Amino acid sequence: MRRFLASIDTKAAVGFGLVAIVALCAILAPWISPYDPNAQDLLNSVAPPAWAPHGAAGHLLGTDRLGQDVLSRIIYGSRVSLLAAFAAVIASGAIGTFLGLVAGYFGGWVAAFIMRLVDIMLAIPFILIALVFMTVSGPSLTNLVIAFALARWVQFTRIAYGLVLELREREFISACITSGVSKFDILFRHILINIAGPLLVVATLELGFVILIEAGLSFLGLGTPPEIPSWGGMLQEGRALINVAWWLTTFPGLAIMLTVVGFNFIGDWMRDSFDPRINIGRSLSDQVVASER
Amino acid sequence: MTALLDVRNLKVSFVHGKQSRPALDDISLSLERGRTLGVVGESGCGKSLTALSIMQLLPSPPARIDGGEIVLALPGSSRDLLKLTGKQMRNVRGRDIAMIFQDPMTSLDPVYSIGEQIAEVLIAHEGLSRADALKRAVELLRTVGISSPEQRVRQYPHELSGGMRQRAMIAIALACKPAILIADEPTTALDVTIQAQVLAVMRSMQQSLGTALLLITHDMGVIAEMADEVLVMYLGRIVERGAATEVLEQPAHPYTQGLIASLPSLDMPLGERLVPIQGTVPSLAAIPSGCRFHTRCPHVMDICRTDDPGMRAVTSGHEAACWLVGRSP
Repeated sequence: MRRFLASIDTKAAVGFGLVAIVALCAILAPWISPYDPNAQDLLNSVAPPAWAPHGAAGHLLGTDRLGQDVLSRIIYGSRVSLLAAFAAVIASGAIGTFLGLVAGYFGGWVAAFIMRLVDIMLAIPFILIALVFMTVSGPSLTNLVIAFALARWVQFTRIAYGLVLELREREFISACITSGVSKFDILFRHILINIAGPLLVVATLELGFVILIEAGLSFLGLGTPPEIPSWGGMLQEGRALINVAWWLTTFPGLAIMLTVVGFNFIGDWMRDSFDPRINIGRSLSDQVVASER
Repeated sequence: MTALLDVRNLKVSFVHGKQSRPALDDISLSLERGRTLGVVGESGCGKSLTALSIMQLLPSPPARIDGGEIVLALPGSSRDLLKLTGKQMRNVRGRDIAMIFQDPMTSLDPVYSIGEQIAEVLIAHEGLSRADALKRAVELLRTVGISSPEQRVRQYPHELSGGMRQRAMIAIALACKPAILIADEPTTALDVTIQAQVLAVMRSMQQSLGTALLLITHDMGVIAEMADEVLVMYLGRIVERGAATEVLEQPAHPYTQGLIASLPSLDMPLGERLVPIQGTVPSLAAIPSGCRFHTRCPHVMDICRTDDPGMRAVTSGHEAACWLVGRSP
């Protein structure tokens, strides 16, 4: 644990810090947000942030067209972003990793089928799949997660497949077979655990990506329904007033950017510490180093 | 004594498209309780392939079994391993036949502790609970000569030295007291001093459990140390077989003679050069006609180029595939 902490560099610390802030906002939203995010105060609409000239006292980041508090909406919006991101990545990661494991371990026509499917999915722009799916099925958080799971599993399958192919030839897998360990145990107890590191890196980077795309889809009105405050939806609402009310787009945009940057920093750090050739964070990756010999 | 394992006329070939190249040709061998059979030969002669065939671990494709049978005769049952289903074979592996690999650095899973890896086999085959299996693991580590096994059992492979890991591998292999142990170059990757210790552990385990040992090696010293009988293989065929002492002292086949002559020995006069076997092993795609060794044999005769000698008796229990055998000097 001490070595784990020692391996965290400044960049990783910033990443963890940003993500921790967003996570705390999401968890503690009802207690820390100064207002109800949907409470309208039409007398105080489009008020600048409290610290800006002509700012409305009590609204730290100003209010929108309906007089809703921007800070409260950003805090609640973090729930949508994180929920969508984690649900989508867990779903696509589970599907993708399983297919990658199966393809890599069994090979033959199973692998040919799965990997051609991957090639096809990679040839279709992801945003197109998401747009079509959301248009057809209607905007909701569940549909958003399904769209991601259907389209993003290929990222995990590609990586898992390559890793399994390499791992399958290792002697310890042969040793497992010779001691009569079942296929199921070999796949899930030995191979999966050994490739978990790199897959975790992919998952972290995917989290950032999903948040971006979710914001994009919400901006187009195809993400979460408007009554749920989300960062992308706030950008959309603020777009019309961008000439007069800069705070309506700036702060949700900053929230998106900082969250994505946070996840990417963590992802970079994890990739470095799992990569034995870069000798920064050895602690997490002792097992990877040992297996690379 | 009847044989525990009988490999009869095993034929394996590698199939590439429409071509097929024979990799094992008519291999027969038998293992007996408590005895050690050594298999020697250069790289690529089919030693490991024989072991993998017994374990049913041939990479298939490209490998294909063309014929023969592998009979495992345990008290009360006798089965041809080639006819078992995948599930039946899985019960044989680890419980009846276990295997140790060459490189202890890569044959343990880096993410599990030694104890967990031993326990896994016990849980799979003997249905022990995790706690009981871990207790047994400690005892097993003690019997293979690992000091303070209570601590070692919780350590991970990267925390152990090569010799320790190979001992741990032996502990895993012998966890379910298998009737047969296949060791594929078990000491090749180890220091010489560690080699002797690991061999000693294997021999004492063999004596206490009565395990039959199939020892694959290219090290004649290991054969001299461990084996009761020896098989010499060349290009997928057995070229000489017999009691270890006799084959080592009076090798009949020129290939065996060459293997022994290419070894340094302590009583060799200073300055004398080692005698290597000329040439290299031909590829499986171009197996020489007649005696397969004739391209490299120092005593080659005309008949060797055209006709295969087959196994010819040297003395009782010692045979070699060479036209020189049985000829009046």
